[in-house]
Amino acid sequence: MTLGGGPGLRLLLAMGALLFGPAPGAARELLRVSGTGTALGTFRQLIPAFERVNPGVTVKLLPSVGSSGAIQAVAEGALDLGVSGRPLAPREQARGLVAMAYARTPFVFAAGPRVSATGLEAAQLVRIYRGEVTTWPDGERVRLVLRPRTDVDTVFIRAISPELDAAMEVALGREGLVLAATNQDCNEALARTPGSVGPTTLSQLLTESHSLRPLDWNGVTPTIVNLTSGAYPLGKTLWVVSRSVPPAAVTRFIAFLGSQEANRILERTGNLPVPPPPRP
Amino acid sequence: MNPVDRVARLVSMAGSALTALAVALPPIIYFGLSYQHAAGSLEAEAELNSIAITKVISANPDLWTYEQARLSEFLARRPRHHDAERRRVRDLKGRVVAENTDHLEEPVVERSLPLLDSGQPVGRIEIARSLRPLLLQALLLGLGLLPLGLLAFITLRSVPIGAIRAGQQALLRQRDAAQSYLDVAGVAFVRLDEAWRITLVNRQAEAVLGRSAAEVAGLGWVETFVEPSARAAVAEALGKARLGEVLALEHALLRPSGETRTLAWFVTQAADEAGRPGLLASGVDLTRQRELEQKLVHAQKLEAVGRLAGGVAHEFNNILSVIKVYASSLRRGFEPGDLRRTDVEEIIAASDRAASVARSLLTFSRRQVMAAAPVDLAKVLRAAERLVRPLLRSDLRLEVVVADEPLPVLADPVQVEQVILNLVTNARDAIGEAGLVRVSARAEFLDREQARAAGLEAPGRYARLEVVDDGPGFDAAIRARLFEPFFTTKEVGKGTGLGLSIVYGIVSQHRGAITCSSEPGRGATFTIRLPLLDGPVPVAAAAAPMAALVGGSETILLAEDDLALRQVLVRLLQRVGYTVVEAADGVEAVERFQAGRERIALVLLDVVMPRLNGRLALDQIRLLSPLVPALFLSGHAADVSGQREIPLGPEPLLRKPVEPEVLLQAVRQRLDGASCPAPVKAG
Repeated sequence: MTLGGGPGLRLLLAMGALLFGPAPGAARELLRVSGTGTALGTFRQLIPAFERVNPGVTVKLLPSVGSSGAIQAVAEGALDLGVSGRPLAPREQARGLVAMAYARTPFVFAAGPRVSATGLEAAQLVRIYRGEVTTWPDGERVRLVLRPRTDVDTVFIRAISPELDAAMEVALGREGLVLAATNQDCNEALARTPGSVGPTTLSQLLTESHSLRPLDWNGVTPTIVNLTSGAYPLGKTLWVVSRSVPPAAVTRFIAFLGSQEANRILERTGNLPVPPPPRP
Repeated sequence: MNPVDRVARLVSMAGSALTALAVALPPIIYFGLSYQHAAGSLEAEAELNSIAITKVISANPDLWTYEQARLSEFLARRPRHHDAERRRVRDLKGRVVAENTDHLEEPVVERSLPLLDSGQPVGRIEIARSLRPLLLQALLLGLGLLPLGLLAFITLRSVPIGAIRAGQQALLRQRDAAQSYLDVAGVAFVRLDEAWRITLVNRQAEAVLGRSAAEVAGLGWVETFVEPSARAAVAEALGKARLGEVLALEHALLRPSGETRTLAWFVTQAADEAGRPGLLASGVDLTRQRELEQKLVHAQKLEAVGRLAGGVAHEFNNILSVIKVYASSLRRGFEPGDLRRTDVEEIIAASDRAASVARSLLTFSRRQVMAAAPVDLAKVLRAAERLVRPLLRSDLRLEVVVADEPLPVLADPVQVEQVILNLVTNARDAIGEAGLVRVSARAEFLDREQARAAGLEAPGRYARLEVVDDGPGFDAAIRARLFEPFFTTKEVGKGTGLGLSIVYGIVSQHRGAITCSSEPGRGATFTIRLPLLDGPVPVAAAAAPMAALVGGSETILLAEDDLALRQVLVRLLQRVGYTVVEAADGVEAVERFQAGRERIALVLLDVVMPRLNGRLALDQIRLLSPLVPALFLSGHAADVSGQREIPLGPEPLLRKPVEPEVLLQAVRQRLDGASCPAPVKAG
């Protein structure tokens, strides 16, 4: 089942955490967290804040294993909490997992070094993916960084428009393009590749120290404001995944995500907090 | 199976093996190399992937197994034209952590490498590739090579076998050629095995042995073909035959008909085609050669006897001439009825008989003066028949068979008549009682071999005169001496033993030959062959009637080496009025003629004289006086050495011993200018 994020639920979870949290001196509870690279930068800032209010809980942020890896790891008990860029699939829900959307972040096409362009048109991007546009206006070669076919970002781009869907198919068949397996790999590839262009998120741009330039989409700059207003249409939703009967620390962490502090951190790191689902 | 077929089979097997290798080896090698390449490539890919995956593991040792996306991405990285592969990453429990799989058809080749975290294995990477494309490529390569292999097989098989067959054909041709050489060589070839049994003979050997090759195969040589008396010696000789040495031996060879032939053999030790030891012998049939040698010895013997007899007869003739001239002169001194005249006439008669014997001897020795002219032998035989018949008894039957065609020969008809007469009387005497004598004459052609067998020098057309009787015949010993003078099988006093000698001499002088065949109880056949002339026989001019006895007053040059005869001739000529200038030989005759050529009206020359014979002397005299008439006087037709006859030309010839009347008639005729009178036969 998917839990919709709502203030009531978060409050309940936060209160539960306070009431049933470990007594001082008791053994510290370990919370293993990993997931999509998009959220790791944000979680590095969320976890200390959480641990401050939950001294009995030690949160261990493991290297990114991607959304699917995190979902599977949670299902198998290798993780206590997973962070995913996609919702659960039915077969994943069938394994007793639950997911809750906790934020949205602008999905951004960023450019690497030596790119003077500041924005992209949808049609332009289609032509780039199709290989019809091979240079930037200033003459620099366009070096497209792709993500794997099954990656959440690839699925996201293909869902933008049928033209991009078709163009992505062409691009995936092209040879000689840079393919980045993870979000971090992708940002690194974009940062080190002159003339590069590829997908990332505003959250990653803000939490990772890469000198990448987010490109305007159809003339709209990817900001939380524009995402919130709907002017910027490309928003990537982020989910936390846990077992349906999670450990208490997980419950507390999810509750913490609905806290004011967590929201501040989320916004600061390019995320638009998603309100908890309404209470049933 | 013959050796060639065996070699052909081996070549076929070798060709098949090479072809199979040529077809199978490249695909096998290709598959092997490709397999190695694929295995190496898989190992390299596994190595590369393991390096990348190890980094992932090192970066996230707790959760690396959940980095499926990244691992799958690594596994998905393939070369542009990659082969279908199955790539899997497993954890230590063997669970598939990540995979990138194409559809693979069995069989597959797989390489696996451990994934390490700080040296400790945490999983494995497996990369597999199907071998089916390789197998298909190898199969296609094999199929592609199959036509080449077939071509190679055909070449490897047909070319050597063709060469072998061609070699075999060449060998067979050589063998056939060698066989034909052997067959035409005129030499008998015989091969004997170790036990001296015949294993091979050529055609000539078949002819010599009188049996076919099939008939003689396996027969023991010594016991079958060697005359019993020579078997031990031949066996001993054959036992000495050695490899590389040629042994010569000669023995009489037995033929199925019972006759024997004389063969000279050259024997050596030689192995047959299968390497079995044996003897190889080449034999030359010497039978005919031995016969010819015997004939030659016989002829040489007769020649020697003849020369002796001729010399004696020549001397006798001169003596007889003196006796007869003086006796004739003496006779004229006695009146008829005077007893002394009768005695002188007995002397003259005895001289005549002696002269007849001398003449026979001269005839045998071929020194009788021959008046040869073209005559038809058929006519001569018919004429002789009239002379012969009265000589035969009534119980003897004479058949004369003469060819209708003319048989022109260059002959003295009188001498030919003598031959026929002698042979018929010889047959008559041999038969004794009732019997048949058949005389025939016909033309025949003799080739070189036949001519040689008949005792003639050259092949050609000959007149064959044959006298056959059905008398008791005679054996080889008698046959060998038949023509010797004074040899006779008749009782003492019944024959002179000169009849067949005369026949032999006359025939030889006519450049003919006589052979005789006879066996005891089977009669005898005498065969004479005289060379046939090409043209017809001219009609002979009638002999001039004998002139009357006359003398004269002219001067005559007389050349005669025999002093007694010269003196009696001088006396005879002077008695009838002639003046005689004497010369003792040809050189002197020329000198005397030169000295007195104005008065010498005729030259009378003995033919055979020392220093210069009569013919050459006349030639020189004719240079001084071309028209001076001449007469020749001779007892024989050959010069002193007897080596060759002296051609006398058209000058008349008087035979010694000459009758005084005949001499004077001839001298008178020449002085009176009678042209070329016919030769005058001496009394």
